[in-house]
Amino acid sequence: MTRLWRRAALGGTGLVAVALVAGGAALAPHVLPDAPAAASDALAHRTGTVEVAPGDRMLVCPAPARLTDPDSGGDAQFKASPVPTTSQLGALALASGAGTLRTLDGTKVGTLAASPGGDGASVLREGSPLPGGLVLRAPAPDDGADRVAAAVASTTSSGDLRGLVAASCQTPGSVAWLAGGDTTVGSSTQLVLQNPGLTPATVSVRAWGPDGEIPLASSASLVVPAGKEVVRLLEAAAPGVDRLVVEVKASGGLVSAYLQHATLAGIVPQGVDDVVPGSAPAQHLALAGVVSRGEAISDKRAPVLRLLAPGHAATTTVSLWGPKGRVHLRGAEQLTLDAGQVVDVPLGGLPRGTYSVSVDADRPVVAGVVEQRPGTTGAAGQPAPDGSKTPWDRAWVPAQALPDGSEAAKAAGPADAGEVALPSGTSRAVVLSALPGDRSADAKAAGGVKATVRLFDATGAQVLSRPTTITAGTTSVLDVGALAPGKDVAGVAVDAVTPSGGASLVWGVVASTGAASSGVPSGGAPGQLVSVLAPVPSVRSGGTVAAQEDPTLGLP
Amino acid sequence: MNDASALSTTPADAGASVVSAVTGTVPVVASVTAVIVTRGANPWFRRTLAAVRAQHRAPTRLVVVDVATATATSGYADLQLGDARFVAASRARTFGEGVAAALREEPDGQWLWLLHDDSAPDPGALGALLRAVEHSSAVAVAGAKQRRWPTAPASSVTRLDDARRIPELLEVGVTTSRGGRRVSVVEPHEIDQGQHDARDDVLGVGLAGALVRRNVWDELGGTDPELGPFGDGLDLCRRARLAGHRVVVVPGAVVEHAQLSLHRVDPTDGAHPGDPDPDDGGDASFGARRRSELYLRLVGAPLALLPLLVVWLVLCAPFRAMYRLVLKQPGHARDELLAPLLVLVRVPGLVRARRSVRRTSTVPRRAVRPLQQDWREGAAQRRDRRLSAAEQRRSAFAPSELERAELAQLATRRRVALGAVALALVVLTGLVFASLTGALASGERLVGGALLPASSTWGELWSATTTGWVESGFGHPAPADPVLAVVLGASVLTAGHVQVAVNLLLVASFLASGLGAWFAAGALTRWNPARAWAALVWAASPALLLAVGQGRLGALVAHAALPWFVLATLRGVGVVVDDRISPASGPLDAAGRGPARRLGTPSLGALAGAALLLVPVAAGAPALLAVAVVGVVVAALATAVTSARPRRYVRLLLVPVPALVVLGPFLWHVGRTWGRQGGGWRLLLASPGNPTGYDAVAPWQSALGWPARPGTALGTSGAWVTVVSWALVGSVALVAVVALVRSRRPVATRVAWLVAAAGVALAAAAPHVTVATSVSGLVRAWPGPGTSVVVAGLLAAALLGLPERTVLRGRYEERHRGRQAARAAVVVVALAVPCAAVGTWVVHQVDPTRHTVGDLTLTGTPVVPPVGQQMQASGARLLLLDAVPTTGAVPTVRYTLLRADGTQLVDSSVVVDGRAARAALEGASPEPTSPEAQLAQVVAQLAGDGVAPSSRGIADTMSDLGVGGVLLPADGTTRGSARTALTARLDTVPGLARVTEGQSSVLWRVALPGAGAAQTSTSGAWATLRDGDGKVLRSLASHDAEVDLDLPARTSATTLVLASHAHRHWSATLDGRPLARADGGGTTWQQEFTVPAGRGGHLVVTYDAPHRALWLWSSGVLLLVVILLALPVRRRRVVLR
Repeated sequence: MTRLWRRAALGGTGLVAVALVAGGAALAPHVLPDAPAAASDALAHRTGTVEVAPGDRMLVCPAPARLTDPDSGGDAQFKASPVPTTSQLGALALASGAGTLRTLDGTKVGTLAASPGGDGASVLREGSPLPGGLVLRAPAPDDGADRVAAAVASTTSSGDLRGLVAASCQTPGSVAWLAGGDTTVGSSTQLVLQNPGLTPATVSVRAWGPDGEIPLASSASLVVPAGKEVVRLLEAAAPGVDRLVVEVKASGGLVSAYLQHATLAGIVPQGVDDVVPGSAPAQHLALAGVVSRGEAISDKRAPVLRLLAPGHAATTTVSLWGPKGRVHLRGAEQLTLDAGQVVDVPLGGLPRGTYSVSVDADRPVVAGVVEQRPGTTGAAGQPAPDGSKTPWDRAWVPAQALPDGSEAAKAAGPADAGEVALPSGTSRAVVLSALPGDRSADAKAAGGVKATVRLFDATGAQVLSRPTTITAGTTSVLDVGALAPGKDVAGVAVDAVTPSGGASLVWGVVASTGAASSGVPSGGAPGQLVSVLAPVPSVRSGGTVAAQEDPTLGLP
Repeated sequence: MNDASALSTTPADAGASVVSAVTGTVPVVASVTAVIVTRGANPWFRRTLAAVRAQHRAPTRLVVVDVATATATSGYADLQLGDARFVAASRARTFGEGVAAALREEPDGQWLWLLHDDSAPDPGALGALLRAVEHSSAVAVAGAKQRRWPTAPASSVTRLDDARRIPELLEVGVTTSRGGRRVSVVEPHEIDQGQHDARDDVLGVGLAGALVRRNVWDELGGTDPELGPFGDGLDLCRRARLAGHRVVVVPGAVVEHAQLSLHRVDPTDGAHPGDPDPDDGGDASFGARRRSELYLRLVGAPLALLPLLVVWLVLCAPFRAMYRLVLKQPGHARDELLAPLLVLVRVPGLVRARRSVRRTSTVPRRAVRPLQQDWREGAAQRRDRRLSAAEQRRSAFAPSELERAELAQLATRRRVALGAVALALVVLTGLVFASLTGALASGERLVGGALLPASSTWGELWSATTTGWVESGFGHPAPADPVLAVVLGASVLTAGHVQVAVNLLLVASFLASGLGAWFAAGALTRWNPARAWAALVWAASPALLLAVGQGRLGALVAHAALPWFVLATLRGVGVVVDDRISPASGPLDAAGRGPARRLGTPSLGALAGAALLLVPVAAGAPALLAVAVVGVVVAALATAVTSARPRRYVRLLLVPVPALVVLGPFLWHVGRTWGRQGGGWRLLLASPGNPTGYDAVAPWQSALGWPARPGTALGTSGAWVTVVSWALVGSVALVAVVALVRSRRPVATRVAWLVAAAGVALAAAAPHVTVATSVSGLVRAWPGPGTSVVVAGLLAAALLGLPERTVLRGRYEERHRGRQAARAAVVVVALAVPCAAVGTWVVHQVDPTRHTVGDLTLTGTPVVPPVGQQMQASGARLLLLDAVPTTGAVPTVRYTLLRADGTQLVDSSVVVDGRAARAALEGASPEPTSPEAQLAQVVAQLAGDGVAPSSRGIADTMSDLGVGGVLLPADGTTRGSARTALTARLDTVPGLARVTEGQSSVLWRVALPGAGAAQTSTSGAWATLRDGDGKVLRSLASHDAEVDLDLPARTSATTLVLASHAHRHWSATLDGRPLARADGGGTTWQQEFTVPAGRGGHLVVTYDAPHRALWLWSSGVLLLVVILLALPVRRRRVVLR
């Protein structure tokens, strides 16, 4: 009996044990409550969403044009600078707090009132002489999207620096690509590095020429002290380079960099301009404001497109978009760029007109365009028939990055396309191009861009607001002087850009002064002394940042 | 008259016996009063009385003193006292008082013959004694030779006439060492062959059977009333000696002494308790004897040495107790500790005794020195005893030639199998870790998954483990993770190198697990292939593989320690099987099994070992402690009811105690927060280290040993993986099911199944419990420990069900080639499955070229560059930033606050993680004023888009948060232009100064105006001294959330600010005087103290958790006790017959 009981008990407990294991495994999901979901998803991911107040907007303006070696010469008759350079600064704020204009080392020069909002703008103008590089600092408005632009123009009517040097002030950055300049005999290319910050910046410079990257013995690494400007002559570091592209990389502080490029033929000035940073290497680039005087295909004074594929060899397509649509550049539309070799593409043989150039490559490239205008030798104001004695002025056009085709299609809703402050004393033409999304050689342009061009006078009042429609693939030129006759226009802004059909807008301002130059197409800015101003994009700062605590940070 | 007594009686005594045979009892010339002190009427007393009556020379008077307090007179119903006087002395507490009570009514008489109720004299004893004293008036005490009372049937009151009985000596006089320790010339169990019969003058004799001169007795005042049954004779004799008398032992007088007091047998028990076990060596009375000995030493010591002796005795007691613990005598250890204290409180008795000695002494103390044993003799005696004990152990088991050969063969087979298993495990360890060995030994870090670096020093680890303050973020009052205790212990082995210790834990895990399983399996089966199978399955357990691959240190430690714990527990309760060499003594049953096997004896040492091994198991996975506690309670209760020997199981209740104490603060926290929202019980399931998620599996997969998805765990998928992964534990489960039906030990099999069921419950519950948060979301508890228990339970059941090798193959068994081949094939397949599983894991998870094991990666490069570490060493924390490229609209930046080279193991806390998880579950965001929110704000401002903030406020905030620098790590996810932009942005933040140039990681220090200009000095530090406006005057060097430095006095009052959450257990002292807390108006989160103007000195800031000292001391003492108890000093018997 006991044995029976024992067997029964053992059998029972065995069954129970197995049932516990098997049943537990089978029934657990039904019995156990589900793991609770997090009430705060952010906390579950160790994330805090933080509103960041917008910071200050800082624009660093180039110094007025200056001589490479002001002490040379000696003969008063052949002075390098027989006439003084007049320089102007203009600043325009459509949306920002009250800003101040200071020199690099902090001396206050002027004040930019806070933007009044609405259709108005606040304008600051400073006249000659400007004390050198200037910094405009303005707090961003509450929504973080500030619209401030400034530009500096310096005009020299004769002498080595004869020409108009105008450039928009730039936001200091850590990388700048300068596509322009040369260091052949007669040319001078100064690299100007400005550090508006509070910390010294270490700058490394690389340069490329036609034969690849140029080893820069002494100037490869520079220290730009806080609030200081450093000027280096590239002809000293890399002499005899006729096609130059420079990259500037800063660490320890943000710097603004540009090249002041001046060329002489003997004693005849051949043009001076600032090469301001264009887009970093990108696959899609555009350059607005290329004015063709209808040069012959072999004309050396025709605009030139400078291209460099810094990293890898690239195949590029160069397209020209004129007033009547696309103009094919026979034989030069498809280019293969060797890595590191700077290539100049002459844009001769174009019909007279104002163009925008687009560069599409399968690898990131940098680009720049230079254009030249002849001047007069004498006071008569007529161009000399013989080019050798004719003074010229030149303008370097910085490249703007274009959104990818797919990105452009996605961009919806009106947006602003930046603004340009216009220094006084120049005649201006606003060049607007709508580049189609598909820029392949045989594509048919479709769509277009609607935009509103607004002009402001020196008091900040809006003098004109013109809705404009640009068909895809065309360039339209607005003569500021004609649009607002008799007004001293201090700034232009392009607003409410509404692209359609994948088109994207690219624009710039051609500024000129002096007597009308020969061969310049009608439509504004006909002067002999010329520069091209790139728009200053709106910058959005502040906003929401997700801060995520991750203890494993830094560990592999 | 028998042969045995003839052996010991002298010829003269033989003559007397002849006379007495003719004339009857011869009266004594000298008057002798015999006093028998008894406690109630007991069998021994009856025999003693009979023996006194049978004396050849009868005592003049016989007095029987009964000291029993409440004995009914019915107890004496059949007692014939004759002419003996009966004295009831119920108030007498000692033998001496009983004698005194007898003598009160006996004014005259020359000699006293003192007898215990358990000391039966030989018939010629009194005669021999009288002959010894009749010619010398100097002899005051004449003692008898004491022999062991013979083993006799309980009812026997007459002397056993058994010629084969071997007379065992108990005492032929005693003496003391020079130090006062009682020594006897007689060895335990020494056979009386007359070898000590030449002894004469001795220092002392036992009073049982001793003849004492009456006037000396009266002069000395009898025995010392403070002494109980032990040492009273020695004391009396010593005093007699000092009073100028002689004390002799008379070998001719033989007394058989049962030593009831020594064995603590109460003779008044109604039932006769049987013969006391002569082998226990008087264990029961050890404390009383020790107290008597100490008392005698204090009485006998010179006055000048007395204080020294007292201190010595008290100081020695713990060490003597430790020695007793090593000998597995915990009761004696207690007695050793208590004895000095109990003796020292008896001051009046001591004074009286010393005074009495002084009063009666006539000779100086040095007169007794020749009678004492000198140290040389003592040493010789100890050596002899040691040798004889060793010899006795050797001869206890003397196998025959045949048995010897079988034993050798068994041992060879066992060792070969063990060697093969160990080799396999070493090969596995080599495959996994060989490419890392050199780097790991040099302290390089293996990090990844849940494993965090451990660059701390031993001191930092110690303070992190014990202070109760977790230093992650801005500090939290929380108990340290229990696993740190294991790391602490392991780093003792590595001479304080914590990282090496962590590496060692990882590398040794396969070997420790596999060997543990081998030995644990040996407690269940002696079939070597089965043991090898168990070892391989355990080492290939998914719980272990995943714990290694994901760096789950806790689960790994628990898995490796579990089999050792099981083994120790089974040994402790004595349910292990051992090798058996003789052929089965009974017929085999139908299943071919021999008769049930005798199990081993319970072992206190093994139980202590189990208690010790439960500490790492519980520290690795606290849930297993809960399982263990429930298990031992159930086992104790169940066996207390059912078992014949419940004591061995009841002792099990003590096994969890050390783990409970060592994990005390953690468990206390768990208990305190048990019922709250979120529940502290979750912490029991949480695994330590960096919270790491996993792919949860269905419970049935957990029941087959997989805590996570096999595909992702093994790093591959396919039919092969499916087969191997399920066959690994599935085959074990199948055998375990069979074991329920046919098993050698059916109850044990069911217990194993219940253990597996507990494991299933644990493993199934774990994925439903949220324990932490991580950047990839909520983290559920890791089911690894649960699956470890499942595999352990199933393995145990399977091993119990496998056929046991009852006889040696090839010797007694005829060969069945077919059956042998089939069996070998099964064994090979069984061993191949775990090898295949672990091989698949190795192939897909171990990459020797990239130095990775699963998620673990070897790294030698520091996260924080040396200059940053220098800043950290001076008390600054570094903010590590890394912008994450996201596709979403909101830019994401990751950050962490570092106080060392990377987030440290000691900084992770399951309690802190649990709080974060609870906040996430409840959706409770931190207050905007909390430092955590402020830090997030700072991070967002530093790393946000657009233009950098221009105010210095951000640096001020960082300084308030104790952030001394910002670090952009070398190999973060921020690369290319984003990294450049972030660098540029940080460069332009006012108050941040770049420290490193041209390195892959970029470091900025917080430099507020006025702070030092040195590269590593920073305005942000954990501890700062600030003026009334909150401006940092000075940052103070701190270490492990402690400040210890000299502070110069300042002219104005300053505030000491700790960048740490305020807590009432923070304390600051300046030159030992506490500093007042500054409440900061209730708006600050920091801990602040006010330093008064003009005061300087040594500043110490610490966090003092409540009861820390109590916990540390109790843990330390308990661990010491357990370790001493667990030390294997006594050779265990390997083989049972």
